[in-house]
Amino acid sequence: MAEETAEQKAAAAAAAKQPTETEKKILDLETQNKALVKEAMEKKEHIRKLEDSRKAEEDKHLKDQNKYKELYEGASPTLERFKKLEPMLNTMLETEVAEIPEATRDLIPQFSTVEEKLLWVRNAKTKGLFAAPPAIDPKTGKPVVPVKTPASSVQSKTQTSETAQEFLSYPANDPRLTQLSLNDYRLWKQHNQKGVGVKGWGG
Amino acid sequence: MDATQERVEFLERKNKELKLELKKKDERLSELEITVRVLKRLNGEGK
Repeated sequence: MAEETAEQKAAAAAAAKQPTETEKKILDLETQNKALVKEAMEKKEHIRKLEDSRKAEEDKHLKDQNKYKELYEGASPTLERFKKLEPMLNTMLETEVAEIPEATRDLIPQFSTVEEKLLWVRNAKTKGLFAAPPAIDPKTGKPVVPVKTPASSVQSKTQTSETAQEFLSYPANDPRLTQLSLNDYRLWKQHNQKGVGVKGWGG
Repeated sequence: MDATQERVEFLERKNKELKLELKKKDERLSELEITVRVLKRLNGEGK
């Protein structure tokens, strides 16, 4: 039985063709390395794309920053001018407020800016918000209404001012005196400094 | 050391190098993704 059968010979040949453990390891490593190289190439390409994106975004950001810088530089002279105007506005406001009776200054609301406050104060003044209240006649308890008369028509030897009211120049025997209101008459009397008694006024 | 053994060692060394390279690339990718996302947000794009 020293001779090998045909079957034994075939099995021996097949065994000879089987890769050894080392050869298997080599094959495995080569496959792994191929996959790793492929993956590295893909990641390299991905990195390249991201680098491009980053550059594009950086450029865009820089462009925006320059735009704001240009806007700021363009607005700087105006800002400087406004900075110089602010103390002037404060002075104007102080002057306006100083003209308001102290008792009514509390009426001025709080504003965040001096220009708003100044505008409000000037408007309020124009509309007479801070005008002194009319004097109350102690006898009648009614407010004394000041009478405004054009100064140009006033002619009187006792006239002392261009703004003097016309009735102040009436002579003592002028019948028009009887048509004056009590307050006007008192004014006339005070103005003429004479103890004039007018019929019907009792005074 | 025979040629086969040398080949195995070479492939193993190469395998290690490739894995290290991939790790570095992953780090770089992550860093770049964050940078791009921040820049896009700064430029008023996607959130």
